[in-house]
Amino acid sequence: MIQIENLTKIYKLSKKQMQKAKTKKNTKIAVDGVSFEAENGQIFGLLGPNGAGKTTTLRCIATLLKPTDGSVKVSGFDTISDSIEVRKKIGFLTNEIKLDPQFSAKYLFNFFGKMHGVEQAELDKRREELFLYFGIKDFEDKKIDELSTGMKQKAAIAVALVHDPEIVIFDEPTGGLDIITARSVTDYLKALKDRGKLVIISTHIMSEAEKLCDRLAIIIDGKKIAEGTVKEILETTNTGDLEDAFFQLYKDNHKEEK
Amino acid sequence: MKSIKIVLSKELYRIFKDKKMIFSIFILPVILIIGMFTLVGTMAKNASSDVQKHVSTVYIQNAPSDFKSLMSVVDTNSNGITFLNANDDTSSIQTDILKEKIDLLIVFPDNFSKSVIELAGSNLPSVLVYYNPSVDYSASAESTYVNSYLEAYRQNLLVAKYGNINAVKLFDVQQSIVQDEAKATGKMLGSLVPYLITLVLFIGAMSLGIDTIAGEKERGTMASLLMTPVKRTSIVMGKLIALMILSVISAAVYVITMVVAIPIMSKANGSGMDISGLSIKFTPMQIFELVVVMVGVVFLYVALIGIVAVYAKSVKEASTFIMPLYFVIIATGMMTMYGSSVTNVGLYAIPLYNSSIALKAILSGDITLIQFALTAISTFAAAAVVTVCIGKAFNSEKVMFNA
Repeated sequence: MIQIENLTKIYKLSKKQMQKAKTKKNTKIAVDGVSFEAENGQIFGLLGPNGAGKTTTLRCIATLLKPTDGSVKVSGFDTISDSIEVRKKIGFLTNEIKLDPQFSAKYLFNFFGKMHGVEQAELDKRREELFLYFGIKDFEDKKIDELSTGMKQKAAIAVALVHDPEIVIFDEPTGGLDIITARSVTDYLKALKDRGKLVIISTHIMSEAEKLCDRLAIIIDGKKIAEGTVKEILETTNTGDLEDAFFQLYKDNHKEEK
Repeated sequence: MKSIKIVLSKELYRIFKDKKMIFSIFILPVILIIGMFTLVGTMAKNASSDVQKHVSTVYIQNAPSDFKSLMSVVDTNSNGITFLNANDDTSSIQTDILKEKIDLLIVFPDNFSKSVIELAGSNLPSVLVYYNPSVDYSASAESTYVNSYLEAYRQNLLVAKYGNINAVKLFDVQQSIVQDEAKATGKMLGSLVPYLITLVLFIGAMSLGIDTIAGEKERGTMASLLMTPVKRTSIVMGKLIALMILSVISAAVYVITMVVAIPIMSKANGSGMDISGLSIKFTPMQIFELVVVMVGVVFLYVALIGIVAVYAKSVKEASTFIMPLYFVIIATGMMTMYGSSVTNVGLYAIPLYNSSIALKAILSGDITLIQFALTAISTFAAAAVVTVCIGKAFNSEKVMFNA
């Protein structure tokens, strides 16, 4: 399970970044006092527009970023003081994290398996299973460089799951994938949930969130403004579908920066 | 420890699986060295045979008749010589020497023969020789005329005047070489090898070092590595050790190629680069010192490359940042090319510089135990400090994710 308490992340901006953002403030609050809990055996979705702070939140959970304030606990381990224990528990995947193009999917799967301390026999079994499921068995010896975009994405997913993590974090899991591949990914996430894993995804696609997520947190401008099941969110906003609910919340909470 | 090995084996796999990498490590140096020496050898040979074939254009003013007749005997190829009268103007000839049209002008003073025979007091007659030392033809003509022809003429005159030449020569000089062969070889090696070795060790690790750290950051593959449950310092060490191995291999390829190829090459085209006669003998102590210093140097270089690469945002930026460091390495190597071994103990405590002067002192057998110990300790300490800094940088989200 994941417990996030009052998570705040403030970036310091360099002069160049300040010019780019056309702001005179030298800090940017990416995540502002977000708290939520997510239990194992569910798919938890972070829903929000671009730049709302979804990716930053996920990166804080994944130990890649350190919270400016507040704390993140993964299965009881703190992401700062017990980062190595946290990393054993999670599999993290985003579009920005890529596989080394010079290696084959098979080599990288084995490499990351060994880095996670997975035994060779177990590794072979898992590779067989995951590669078969994602249809990369026939291309496992090809360099990542030579694979198509979708194939690269699928290989990256398989590699991220090499150690059978308890918690799977996906930043926009279906981004850049065709519908067939996207479907096989979402189906796999459901299968993970059924096996008692916690899956956390971020998305800005309402239909995906509606179909996939057991619970949702809606984040706008770094603040969590709603949390609950889809049904609960529809009830509190008094709307018919998630898209309307989202627009309602967005209108009420988003302020243009002066 | 285990994770260091896993990272190391992946980095080595990256190097040795790549055909381009194999080519640039093992084949390119051989081609480069053989090509370079062939080129230099052939060009030197061509240049010297060209000077030999060249017929010198020489103007001689006011030449005594006996010198004229000597010239017709010694120089069968004398059609380049023009004799001038005493009152001819030679200023245009001097201008032509400057313009490289004429090689040499020799001016005998008036009444040369008479003053030589009479030779009163300080009135020593002077033969003026005009030449242009920056032009090979002119320099070669000057050397031939002054050292051979005018010298032969002088000896002729001496014999004519005194009969026995030894009466005026008084003594001969005979040189006999007494030197320690090993030390002579060491000195010759000591002036060149530290420079070459340090340079090759650095270049060997440079491009891969940038690629394996800055490149992984730029490609977004570093994050997946940082997501693994191993200490960041293990990842750093794995990468640095792989670079050290690569650096040592490429240096070894250069050294072996040079040791094997150069004697063969110089024998084949007869150029002056003859080192086959030089005996290279090292004592076990020298070998131990060499190994310790070299390992230290490699460690330090790799760590420095690593720290530059980790702070750079992209491969391009890293390649720019590495340039000042590259120049420092070249400069420290060049400083040791001339002069003898450094004796000031304090200088052996300066990392980077000390490894060059220590290599030189070890090769010529001059190094003291304190100098060696200082070099080794300061080099390893500097490398360790830089490595710790890289580890810190790997833990910094600002550096790794530009956040």
